[in-house]
Amino acid sequence: MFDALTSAVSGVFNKRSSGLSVPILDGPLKPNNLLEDAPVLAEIEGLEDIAIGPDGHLHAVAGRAIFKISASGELIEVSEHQQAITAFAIQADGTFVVGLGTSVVIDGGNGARTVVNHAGGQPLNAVTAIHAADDGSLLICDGSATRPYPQWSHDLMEKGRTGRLIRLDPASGRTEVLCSGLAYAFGAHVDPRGRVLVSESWRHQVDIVKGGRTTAAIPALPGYPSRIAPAEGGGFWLTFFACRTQLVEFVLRESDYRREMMRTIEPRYWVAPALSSGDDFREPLQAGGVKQMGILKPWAPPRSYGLVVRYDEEFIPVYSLHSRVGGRHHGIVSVAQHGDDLFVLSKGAGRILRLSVSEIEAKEALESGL
Amino acid sequence: MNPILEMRKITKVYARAAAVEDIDFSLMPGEVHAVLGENGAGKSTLTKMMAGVVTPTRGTILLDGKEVTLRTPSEAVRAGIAMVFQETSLVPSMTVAQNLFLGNEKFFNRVRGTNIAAQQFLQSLSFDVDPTQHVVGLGAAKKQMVEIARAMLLKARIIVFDEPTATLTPEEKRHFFELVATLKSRGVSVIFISHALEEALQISDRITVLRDGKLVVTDETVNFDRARIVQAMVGRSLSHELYGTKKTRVRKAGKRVLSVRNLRVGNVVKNNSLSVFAGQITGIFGLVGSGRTETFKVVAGVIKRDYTNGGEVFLKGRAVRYRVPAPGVRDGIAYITEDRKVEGFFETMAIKTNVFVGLLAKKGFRKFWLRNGEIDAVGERWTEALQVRSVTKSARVIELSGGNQQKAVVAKSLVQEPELIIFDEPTRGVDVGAIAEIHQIISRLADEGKAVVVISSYLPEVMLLSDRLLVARQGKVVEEFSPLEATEEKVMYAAVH
Repeated sequence: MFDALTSAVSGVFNKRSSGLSVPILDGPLKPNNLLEDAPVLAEIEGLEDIAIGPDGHLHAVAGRAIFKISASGELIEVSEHQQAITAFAIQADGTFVVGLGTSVVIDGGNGARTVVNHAGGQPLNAVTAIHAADDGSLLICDGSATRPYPQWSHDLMEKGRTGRLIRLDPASGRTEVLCSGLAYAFGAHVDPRGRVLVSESWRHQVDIVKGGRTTAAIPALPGYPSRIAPAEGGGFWLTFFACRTQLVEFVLRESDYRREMMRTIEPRYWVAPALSSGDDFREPLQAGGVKQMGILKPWAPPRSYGLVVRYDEEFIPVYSLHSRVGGRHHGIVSVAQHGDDLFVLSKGAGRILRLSVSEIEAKEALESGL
Repeated sequence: MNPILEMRKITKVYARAAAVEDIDFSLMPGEVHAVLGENGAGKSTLTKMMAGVVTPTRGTILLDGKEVTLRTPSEAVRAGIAMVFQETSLVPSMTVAQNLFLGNEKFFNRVRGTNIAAQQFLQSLSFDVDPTQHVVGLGAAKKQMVEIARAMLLKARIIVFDEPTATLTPEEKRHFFELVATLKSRGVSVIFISHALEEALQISDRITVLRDGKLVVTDETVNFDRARIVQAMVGRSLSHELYGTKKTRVRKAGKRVLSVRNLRVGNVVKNNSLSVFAGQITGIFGLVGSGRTETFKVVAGVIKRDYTNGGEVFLKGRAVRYRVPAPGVRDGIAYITEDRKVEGFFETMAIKTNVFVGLLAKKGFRKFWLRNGEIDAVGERWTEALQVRSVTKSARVIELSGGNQQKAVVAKSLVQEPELIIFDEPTRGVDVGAIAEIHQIISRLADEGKAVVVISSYLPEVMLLSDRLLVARQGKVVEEFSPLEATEEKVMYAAVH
């Protein structure tokens, strides 16, 4: 009774009755240094997304270009577009699908191109992720209807709820809005059971989309989820471009402060999550993040962080890969698995990392005794 | 040398069942004599007869070679025999000083004088306890210290300690052992009941082992090792079944059942955060005062967190804030207390009634038109499932041994079919045989997919049981280990530094 009353009163004043807290990284999400210590396959400025082609080659997009990356990390430029690429996928027949922020281009080769820039009567505004489903359709995440892709932190600070998940039939170019009102759609996936998943970054959850409605499949995540990639052997990989902190949650609650911050401070110095940190003394700091005697506390609140989590088919986390506070490989936005190789894109560092899944699982097995 | 105390063919019969039968026992001056045995072996009954708490049915007690009859504890105290009980017998609403001098007050008492005398006495024992503090506010370890100090103050020639170290931290234990050595050097005889066999081997001169109310063996400690004691206690080798084996695999985490974030409770719990997953045993290790118990008491609604900035508790993703335990029980939380005598059961009620009381708290259970047959059936089913052993079917919980009392408390909670089960010191004051059985119960619950928490101060136990091992220090979880990578040194280091 008392709980109901306090939560009702809190609801009126847009405050929560209890303190501010964020989920912690423990259990299968227990921090390690697997991402931080991972070997670097390639380093390219402006890296945005990666995908595996049907020939097994890794492809990456950076700036306006698409690169093919050899096993040794050698870069071969495959094609270039007029605008910066914001999302990328390769269909089963090798067709490139490229998101250019306000449009999606299906590049069939030999000059055959399909351009889609509207869905459900509204223009695309911030294409953040493209997933090529097994049935040949494409799932497109349009993160925000109000802010372009580079201004994602503006959308967060404005508590954007204008994201959409769109299904595109590449043959006909027909689009269908699967759901709208998403708090920044930043990753989509169709699992072998046919369930459509979408990650909502600002709600910190992954949803199942069905009949135009969403239900939280993985709620209360400790970070901001981004793109999703299938994992061989079942389940999927979920990337997080940053971790939540109490400070950011607090700022999101304090509307006057937030508006003034947005008006008066340069966006890169906002109290907001970042893809990388530690390069500029003007960055906002929480007390635990202050280096003392040159040492950064391992529990310091992370402005930027590197996190990839492997989930099983039941949406239960199996294990996770981290680059911790003070590390380099932060801002993970994309991951792709090919056989034993796991390619991880750290946008914060502008690097593609290559890890061995069997080695990770052997280490995991050592800890669990499996 | 003649024994200071001798018991000949001593027997105590309860409801036609002999708790202790034809036992010969002797205690030498200045001797430390350990009495060991499984739960229900008769250790407590034997020592209670020495302390005048229980009157023997047959047999004789000789003190300094003369036959005596000890009808009350005060008679025993006058004869120089004091007993320090497993569960403290202090008056919670009185101060430490008042408790020390209770029953021996002068005609005119000055509060300041009493406090000073108590302070001096406690200091002489190197016990860091404030004599002006009320006992209700003391932790288990400090209560134990006051109990010991009271026995010392009575100038006892024989002091009987029933599980004295069960609630003490390693440092306090060392302290206690030094105290026993001091007592011994002063010619005081000590009888020491313990389930920690290493302690008995470390500090005693002689060991007596009882089984099923009968004497198995009495011998010099140098002639014993751990294996021989266990063999004598249970008639089979249990040492490897218990802590001898190293964990080789852990259960995978299921869904997150409980998430505690930034929890604060006064000065005890400071910004504590942790998660508990289904299908796993989450072990919580920490020294006394590390805030483990208080954290989970908040989860279960036994105590409240700070109202402002008290943090958040999520049960299956839903924020909860219980002010009393009942809604927690209805939501599937079972908290099995470390202090079973005070919080665990209604001691004068039968086992079946206690179990049924647990069922009454369950969600959706009708609380009217109760039939005796139903109570009997529920009680019988759980008594059998957890193998609660009692002399008669209608035995009251107070008549059970420590291990069986613990099983009754567990049954009272499990009958509610909880999803999250919190065991706080599940094997404190429980003998080796019952420990193995309780461990099996805990493991079975995790195998069934329940989220299980085991809070323990006994490191081998928590390392053996846990699938995840969290270490608490100064009010929060500071480290998480996989039990496969954890070593006792690593865990203890995290708990202390």
